[in-house]
Amino acid sequence: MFEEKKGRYRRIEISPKRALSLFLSVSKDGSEVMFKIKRSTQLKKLMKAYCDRQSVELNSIAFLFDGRRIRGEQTPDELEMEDDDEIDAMLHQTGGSTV
Amino acid sequence: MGALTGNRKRGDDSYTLNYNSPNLYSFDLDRRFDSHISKKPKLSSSMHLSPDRPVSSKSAASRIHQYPDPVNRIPREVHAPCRVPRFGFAASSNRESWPRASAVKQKEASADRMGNILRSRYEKAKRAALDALRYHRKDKEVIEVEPDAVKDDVSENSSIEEVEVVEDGREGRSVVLDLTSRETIGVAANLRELDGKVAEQNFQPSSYSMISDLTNANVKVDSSVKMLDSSSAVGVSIHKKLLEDAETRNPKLSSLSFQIELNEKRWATLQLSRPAKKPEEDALHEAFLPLTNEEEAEVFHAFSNSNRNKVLVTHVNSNIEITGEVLQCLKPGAWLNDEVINVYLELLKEREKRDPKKFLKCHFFNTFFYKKLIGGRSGYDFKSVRRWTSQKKLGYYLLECDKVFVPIHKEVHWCLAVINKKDQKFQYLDSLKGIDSRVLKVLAGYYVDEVKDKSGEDIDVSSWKQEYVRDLPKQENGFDCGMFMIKYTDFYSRGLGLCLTQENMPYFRLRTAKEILRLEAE
Repeated sequence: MFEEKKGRYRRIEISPKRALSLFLSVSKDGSEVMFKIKRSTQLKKLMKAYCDRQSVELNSIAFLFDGRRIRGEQTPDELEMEDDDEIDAMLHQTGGSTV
Repeated sequence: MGALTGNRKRGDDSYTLNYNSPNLYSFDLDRRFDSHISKKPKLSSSMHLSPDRPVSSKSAASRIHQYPDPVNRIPREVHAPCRVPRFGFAASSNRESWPRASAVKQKEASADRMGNILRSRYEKAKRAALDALRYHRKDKEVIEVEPDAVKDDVSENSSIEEVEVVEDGREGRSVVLDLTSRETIGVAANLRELDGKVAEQNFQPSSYSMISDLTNANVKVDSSVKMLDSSSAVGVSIHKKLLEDAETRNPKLSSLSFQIELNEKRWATLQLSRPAKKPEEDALHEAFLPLTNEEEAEVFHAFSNSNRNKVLVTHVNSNIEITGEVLQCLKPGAWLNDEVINVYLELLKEREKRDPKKFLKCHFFNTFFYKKLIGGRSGYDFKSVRRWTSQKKLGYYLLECDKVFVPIHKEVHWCLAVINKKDQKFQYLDSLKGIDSRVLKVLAGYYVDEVKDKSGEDIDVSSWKQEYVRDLPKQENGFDCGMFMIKYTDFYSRGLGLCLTQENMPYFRLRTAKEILRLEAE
């Protein structure tokens, strides 16, 4: 079903302004959630959608693209994202000592 | 003209003399009349002055015979007065009535004058020697220089001690410092030696004056007839002696000048060794540069609760926003979060780019790297971080870096791992001295994969040492591990040892807050 969807979108969105499929993975369990987003859409929208789905606070997660933090105002175009690129969602870390 | 009148006067005198003495008048009467015509008065006057002139000389032949006499007379009459200006003391020997003691005194005085010239020359040399050593000592006292040198020693040592206290456990450098201090002591000892020589040389003039006294005594013994010759001979011998004496000092002077040269060279080497240790000192000084009152006020204002929800600064390159709430983790006793650590590591990289000569070429991974690397089912996922270190993204090659810093987050603890290419080892630093063999194994694997991926080369890191750094400042509370971790990073990227302690942490917290607020690490 997953593959089907992907193939269908590809076939339809062949124009330069096509939507971009992004894979988001939460590092903790390696699970991946897939999103579809327009190239010109701010990634804020995607982040919010992800957090809603995962039932976590937006500010508890850091989104990284190739190791670099993503700001909500950035767009896939700006970051030169390509199809099937991955965004990493990382839980914020804190530490002081071993328990 | 004067000579003529003199002659005429003398002629008159002879007249009167002859006139007054009846004896001369009686047997010279006839001759006088003759002589009047044949310019006799001139002859007669000379005859009167010469004591050895035969009293009766009537015949012309005897008169002619007398002619050579004046020739003999000349050296006596002309030479003797000439000596006076040349040798003041020698003139006295001409007249026996002159007190001999005063002549001796004169001789002594002249000898002393000669000695003084040497002495002043010597003083000059000594002063030059001391000046060259930059100990601006103008007086001759031997004792005064020594305490000075000792004082210098002490001050030098104390400054070294200060540094050594700061540099606790850094043997390499303290050894170097010891060496320099020893050298300084050596120079001081040389100075003392030099002064000993100076003292030795100071005695020489007095001993010389004794010698001149002796010669004077010898002169006294000489007879009055011999006096003229002997004194002139002594005059020559004094010169000779002075010359000899000066010559005997020549080797000493040359040895002194050699000493001066030696000490100057030592001084130069000392001066050279100073700037050599300066950069490190500067770096150390910079690492502990105190905050100004303004900066402290700025930090405390940022810590206030009114700024909790405000974005205080945004690091554009890394897209990290620091809010008041995030920054508050730098307050004393708080646990450090990843935002603060990641921004600080970015600042360290920018600092290195700003001044590449001062810092080692490093790469600082963010706090998420290691977590991502060990994600996935196998516990090692190189692919997920492969693109993190592309040359396009970094602007430099990871493989070129001397040190690669990897922050390790363990549930509630911060540690640091270092891929130390410079020393070919993997290091693990835990402020609580924990050990995690997995971290170093994973990083070794990562480094091999990274090199293979980026350069296509297969490298062997099996010979690289895996080091759990034990000799490090230990955390003594339950909240400063993050601070220790970023400071290990800071000091290592400066090429410094870990010369910090738990006591420095409150300061480092304020300093880090300030550096983040200014977005510039120093």
